[in-house]
Order: sequence, then C-alpha cells, then structure tokens
Amino acid sequence: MNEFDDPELASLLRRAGGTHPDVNVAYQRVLNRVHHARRRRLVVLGTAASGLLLATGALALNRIAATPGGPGDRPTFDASLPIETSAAPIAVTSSLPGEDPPTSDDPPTGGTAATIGTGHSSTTVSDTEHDDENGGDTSTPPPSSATEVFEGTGGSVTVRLHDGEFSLVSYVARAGYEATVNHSGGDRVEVRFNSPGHRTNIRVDLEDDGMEPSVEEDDT
Amino acid sequence: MNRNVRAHDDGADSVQVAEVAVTESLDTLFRANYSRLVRALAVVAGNQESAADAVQEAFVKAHLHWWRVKSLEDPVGWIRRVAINRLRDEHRRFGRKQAAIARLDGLRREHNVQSAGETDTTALLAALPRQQRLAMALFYVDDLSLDEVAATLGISAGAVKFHLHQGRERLRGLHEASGGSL
Repeated sequence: MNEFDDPELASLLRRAGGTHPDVNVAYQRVLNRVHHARRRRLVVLGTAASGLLLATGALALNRIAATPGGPGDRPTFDASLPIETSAAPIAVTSSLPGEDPPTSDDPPTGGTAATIGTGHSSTTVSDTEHDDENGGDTSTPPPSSATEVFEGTGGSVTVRLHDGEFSLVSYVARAGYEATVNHSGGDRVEVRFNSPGHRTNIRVDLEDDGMEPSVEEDDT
Repeated sequence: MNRNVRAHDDGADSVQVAEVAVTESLDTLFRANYSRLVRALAVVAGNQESAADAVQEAFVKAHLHWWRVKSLEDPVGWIRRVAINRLRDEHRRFGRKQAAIARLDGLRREHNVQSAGETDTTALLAALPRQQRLAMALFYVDDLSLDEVAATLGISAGAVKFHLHQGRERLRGLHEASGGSL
C-alpha cells in the first residue's frame, strides 16, 4: 500500500481522461501516417539523389572538356571564338579570295580584309566584320582573354583584351613609317604610323566588352 | 491484422516479411497501451484529441525507427516520453499563438482550458502546474510506479512524491472551493 494510493482521486482523474478511444481507428491512422512519412522520406531522398546525379554529371562534363585532347580542344570549338593567335582575322579572310562573308547583310565593299591590308584609301573595319569574327553570333559571351592583330598600310598592331582591359602587345611599322603610340591600354589602343606621304591610324576601342577596331588610311 | 498476415503469405521476399514483423509487434504494443496512454495524457493536455494526436505521432516514430526502439529496455517508456515531449511542444506553440492573438486583440484571455468551457475537473486540473499534472496523470491514470514516473519525467522519486503530494492537496482544495469534495 502506497501512501499516495487514492482510489477516489484515481477515479476522478480517469474520468477526466475521457472515454476509451477507438483503438482500431487510431491504429489505422498511425499506419496511414507511417505511409505518408515514408513517401515524404522517399521524395526527399529522390530529390537529393537527382541533384547529386546532376551535379556529378556536370562535374564529369567539365573534366572531360578540360582534358587536353578532349572536346574542349577541338578546332570547331575555337572557330566560334575570336582568333587568339598572332594571325589577324583580317589576314585569314583575305587569303581566301572569292569567299562570301558569313552574313548576307554585309556590304560588298565594307570591311573586307583585302582592302584593309593593301588599300591606301581610308578604310574602317565595320561592325559586321567584327561580328563575323565572333561567328556572327551576338549572343555569344565575349571571351575573358583574346589577342588580335590589326593591319594597315603603315604597320600592324597586336592588341590583347584581358578581363575587360586592353594592352598593347606589340606594333610593327613598315619601312618608311614611324610609329607613335597614342593609347596603349585601358579602354583604347591607338597607334599612328606616319610616312612623308601617308598616314595610317589604327585604333581599337572597348565596346560591349569586345574589340571595336578602326583603321584609317590618309594620304597626306 | 488479417491484411498483414495475407501479406506474409503472398509475399515471399524478406522485406515484406520484416515489414509484417514490425507491424505485428507494434500492433500488439499499440493495442496494449494506446488507450491508457491517451487517457493519461488527456489529463495533462486538457482534451483527448491532442493527447491522441501526440500518442499516435509517437507510435509513428516508433514504427519508423522500430529497429532501434525494439532493442530498448522499455519501448513503451520511449513512446510515452516521445508523446509527452510532443504534447509539451504543442502546448508551447499553442501558448505562443494565444499570446500573440491576445496581443493583437488587446484582450486578456483566461487560461485556454478554462475558456474552452470544459468539465469542472479538467478546469481544476488546468489550474495545477504542468509537472504536477503530469506526475498525477502518470501515477493515477497510467498506473506507473513512483520510480517509473521519475524515469519518465527525468526527475528523482522524491520530486515525484513532492509533485503528487502538492498536486493532490491543491486539487482537493480547488475541488472543495468549487463545492465538491474529494
């Protein structure tokens, strides 16, 4: 017999606890809840597994692309980007006589490489040509680094664009010309080649994170 | 129950057999303890719905973690503690909600159980501190021993005796004040 045994109080509290609940109904509810909890757990696990799979796939693709000799090194991949070699894009197009410009909207005379490379009249590299260098796809994001050579009658200029800033890599004056560097970096590179009878001004501006070249030829 | 036995007969794979074993063990445990647990916790919660919800949730957890719970010395004790904790959490949430509503309304509300207009005994029990109610419910309704109550609440047997004594005296006083006798 316990000092706290109190049948009257126990009876009162049991009455306060209510009637006996329906065990069968309650058990069915428990089973339903278990079922729902398991489904929720499966959904969460499935979502996590899918995310992991996607992340692994993306990582594997990146590794393949970065492997030397992998898809990232294919020439077709480079073709969509501005040419980063010492050969100027202008010179490449001029070496293929009769080749049509990539876009039919290009004017027949504007911005051809042959004119720039050999002509003595004032010539400006057009926007369309610049677009052609990027494969004509304006939606392609500009590369973080690119080096291009721009030629004129008086000489050539090699410009590098890196992280949105220009730097003048080199310039070569032809025989009889004297070079003057007006701007050598930042958002503009400008080099002037002067001879007694002719002047070539090569200027490259930074526009929309890309190169906007301008080659002017003037007879003096 | 029959459904589980059929599953056992039809399915030859071990997963299904294991599932049936879990269900049958819990089924036995559930039928033996559910009613008692709900009625004991109803004394604490002030209503049977909250108590039933807490006990059912505890059994759901036991079902999901049965491989661990079954190895315990007292699986029912584990289920009881889980149910009490859930009831405690719910009580806190409800208290915060009521306080927020009271602040918004600018009203001072009576204790939730009293304002619900429930039975006299429930209202009297609601006036007791929660720990006293718990100790009394587990001892008088759930039929636990002093040591079992102490283990469930995580307090000493002496503290349980104190709560039972205080609770009984206070309930008797409240009951007499309301015109009844105990």
